[in-house]
Amino acid sequence: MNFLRWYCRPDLLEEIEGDLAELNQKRLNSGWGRRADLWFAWDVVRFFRWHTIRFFHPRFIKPKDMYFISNYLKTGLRNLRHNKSFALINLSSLSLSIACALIIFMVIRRELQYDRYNEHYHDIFRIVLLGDDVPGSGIAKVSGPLAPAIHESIPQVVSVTRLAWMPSRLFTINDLKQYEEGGMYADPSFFDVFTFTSIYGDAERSLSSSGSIVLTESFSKKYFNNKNPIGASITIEDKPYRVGAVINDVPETSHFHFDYLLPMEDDTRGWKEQWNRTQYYTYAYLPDHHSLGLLEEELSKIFISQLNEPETQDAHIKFQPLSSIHLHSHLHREIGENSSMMFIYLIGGIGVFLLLITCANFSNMQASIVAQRYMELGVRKSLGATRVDFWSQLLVESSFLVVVAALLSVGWVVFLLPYINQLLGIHLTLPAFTTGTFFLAALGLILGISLLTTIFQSVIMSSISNRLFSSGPSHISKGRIRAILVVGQITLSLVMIIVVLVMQSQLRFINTKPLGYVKDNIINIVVNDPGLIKDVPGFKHPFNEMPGVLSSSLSANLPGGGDYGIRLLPEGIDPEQVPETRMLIIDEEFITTYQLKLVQGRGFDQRRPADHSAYLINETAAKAFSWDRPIGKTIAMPAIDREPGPVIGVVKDFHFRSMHESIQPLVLFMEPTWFGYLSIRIAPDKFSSVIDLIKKHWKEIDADHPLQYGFFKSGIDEQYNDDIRMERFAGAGMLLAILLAIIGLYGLSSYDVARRGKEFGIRKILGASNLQVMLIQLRRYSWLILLGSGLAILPSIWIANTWLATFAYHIPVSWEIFALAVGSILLISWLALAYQMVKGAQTNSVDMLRME
Amino acid sequence: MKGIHLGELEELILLTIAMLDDDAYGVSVQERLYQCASRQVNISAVHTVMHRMEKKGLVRSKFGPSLAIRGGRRKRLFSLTPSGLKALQEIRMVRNRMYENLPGFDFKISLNITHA
Repeated sequence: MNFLRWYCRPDLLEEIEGDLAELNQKRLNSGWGRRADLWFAWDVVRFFRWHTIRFFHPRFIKPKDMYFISNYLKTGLRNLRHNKSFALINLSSLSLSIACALIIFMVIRRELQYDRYNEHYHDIFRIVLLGDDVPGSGIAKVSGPLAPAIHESIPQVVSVTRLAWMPSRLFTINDLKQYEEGGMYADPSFFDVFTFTSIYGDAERSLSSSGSIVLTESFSKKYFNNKNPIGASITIEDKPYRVGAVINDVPETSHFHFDYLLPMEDDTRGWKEQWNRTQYYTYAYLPDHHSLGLLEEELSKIFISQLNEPETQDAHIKFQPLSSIHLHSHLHREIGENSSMMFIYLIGGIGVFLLLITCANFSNMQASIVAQRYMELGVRKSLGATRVDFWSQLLVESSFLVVVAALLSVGWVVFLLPYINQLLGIHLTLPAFTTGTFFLAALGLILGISLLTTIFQSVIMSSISNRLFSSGPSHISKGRIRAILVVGQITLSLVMIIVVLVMQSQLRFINTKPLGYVKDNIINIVVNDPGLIKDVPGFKHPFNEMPGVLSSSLSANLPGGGDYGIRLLPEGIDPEQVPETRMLIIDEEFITTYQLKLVQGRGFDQRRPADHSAYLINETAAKAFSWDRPIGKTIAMPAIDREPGPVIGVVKDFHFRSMHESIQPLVLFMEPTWFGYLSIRIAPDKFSSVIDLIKKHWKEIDADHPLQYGFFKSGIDEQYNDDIRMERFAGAGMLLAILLAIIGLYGLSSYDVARRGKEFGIRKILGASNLQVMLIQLRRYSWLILLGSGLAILPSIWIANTWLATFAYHIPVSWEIFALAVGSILLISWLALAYQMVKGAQTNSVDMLRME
Repeated sequence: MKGIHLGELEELILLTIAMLDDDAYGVSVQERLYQCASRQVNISAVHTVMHRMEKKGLVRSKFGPSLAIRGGRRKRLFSLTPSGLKALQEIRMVRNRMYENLPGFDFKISLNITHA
């Protein structure tokens, strides 16, 4: 009823009240009991309509309300102008955090949208194979024949489709030759399951006829510009293809990606019929999925009976909902890189935390401004302002700032988005702004922040309010809450600083640690035609003759790249207990090209044909085989028909894998038929001229395959891309944390100075010097900072060590890093505090005390 | 009658006010509407519609006596203005004309059916 009286236009109040009372009475008379009350309340709520609300009716807005809101805004603005630095800091920090929260929201939204572009996404399942032995283990692919079996044995499945990966293929389009990755084999039913639209041609028919290819839009643009490419001929390796259809690009939020599709028919690798080769990503469109468990059991039985292998009794077929793959599936051989819920929780948590801290800081700053405005508030009070007026003034001022900050944050988002996209390797775009959910989120954010700041302020300012509006003693203990907030922020920034410092020094360590070989100035050329290297010296000779080429080497694999795991039998070791050994298959010049160091014996020699059956090993291998004198020991590889051959040299250990792994036993040997890479070491000053020469020469010797080359160094450095990305992420977080801590400290100190101004004044009258007054303040803050530092040590050690543990070779977390971090945070905080401390110390006592 | 289009609920309530003669106010209109047309309408909707029609000039209102059952508050009694009456007649004429022009449709028979 009071609610009604509050909102209702006075001229309508009487009749409404009357009707409601009458209705209520009638309901009570007909024995409705408590339900009458509920109905009454409901009716009151229903009366809350446009025409009954007095605030919307010009005649009945209390003139006071309008006037005071504009007055609050005016004085608020005036105060902002007075405290320009305050306003600037407040607005920038608030808008920056809102922007970060918005970006985090956009990222999370994107993560949650994976695969939902499919019309039937909630009815599509991926069929995967799980093993019972280890939870979470399993393969994302299943056997080829399973898909037809599903179609036959499960009537509920409307359609089922398979996708198969294929290696990069040589495309010839109008004499243009290029290697293309990103192809897949797909069943014609692919388009029954997934939602794609054909831009040209009929995609489904194209997939059902051998010799035709489906292109995505951007792939088609790459070769055919905007022309309709239907019917154009493409030669893939040696097989002629015709373009059958062009479909829209695979959305970025898809767990698989491809540039072109070939018909499953053309997959002639012979795996399609084999139950024991799990090579096919299989998806089923299953609108009726009430008894998934039964289906899974049935399929598992079929699979096991077909597999006919007694040891795989525990294989389980599982149906994964399509939309859960991106965040919840972490199987072996995933089709692409998946994300995880952890990531979502992590950044979501960061976002909330950020907002909380910012709200706290914001309220702190606001409170300190209010504390400086006793005079204004006093005047307002003496003119009849009540506690409610005081609060509504605060609310109006802070929500005004929040709204302005929210508008500014859009600018921040626009500014930051490209960097975020680069960092995460995604394409978030601004059109997301216009979507309804985004708008609602932004609105919710603004409301939430206003509310939060008001709550914070009510905690902080109740003392001010008490002092103003009651004669009783005020409770200043609220200062402790602010101190705790500041300590928390210091802790957070310190943890971030330490983690970032550790990351930086580890990355520097990786870059400067001798690898055992030289990675600069080497290019790697892929040799696709095995016919070229039948005559190894004859093939290499023209390269070695080019001015600027220092040496060249053929090998089957490269340091840092994939390697072979062939069973080998070193002399004197029980065949059952041979340690796991890696292999590099190289030629005579490999050691000079990569500048490996020999510690014993000699390298391969061109003039000794017997070296083709000989081996080099690394120091770790010698240790692993427990050979004191490795030279002359023999190694055999029965799997590839290699008779026992002598070890002729030992190379110094080098990091042929990334620093994440420890150096493993390594065996190097020559097997010319396997060679696939040509590594050329070039004099640094001749780099570009040599590459031109190589390009020219390559056209002469291999007209069928375009030159494919890369820089060895960038391949090696790529191994640490994830680490570098993480370091940058942490760096950005660190900057933000420091910024927030500075603002927090600044806010606290300015509030303190405002509050303790009189105390300082009295101290100075009693003979304290400026310096002493400053020291009093410094003591208080340094204590807080040191407390925060103490709290930061354990979590930062833990985080740093967890990260470092992913590297087999890493630096220790040293005390220097802690000292550096604590020192820098002290310095930063003193700088943040300096202004207010000096101001506090230099205030003229007379100014402070004359009011008393 | 351009400019005044009556919604279905407006029309019903206008009719009810006409039926109730000199005792038309929120609760009575709501009750009569339920009795005659089986329409359960929230009291706030009744108020909204009546005030809207007053603004359109179809009804006018005055305060009636205060009653104990209403907690001592007065009723706002509504009655039809001439233009309100005219609006009702207009509506009826339009309807009748349209019904008569329905091809192959005997108005009287259909009336019987609805009564049965």
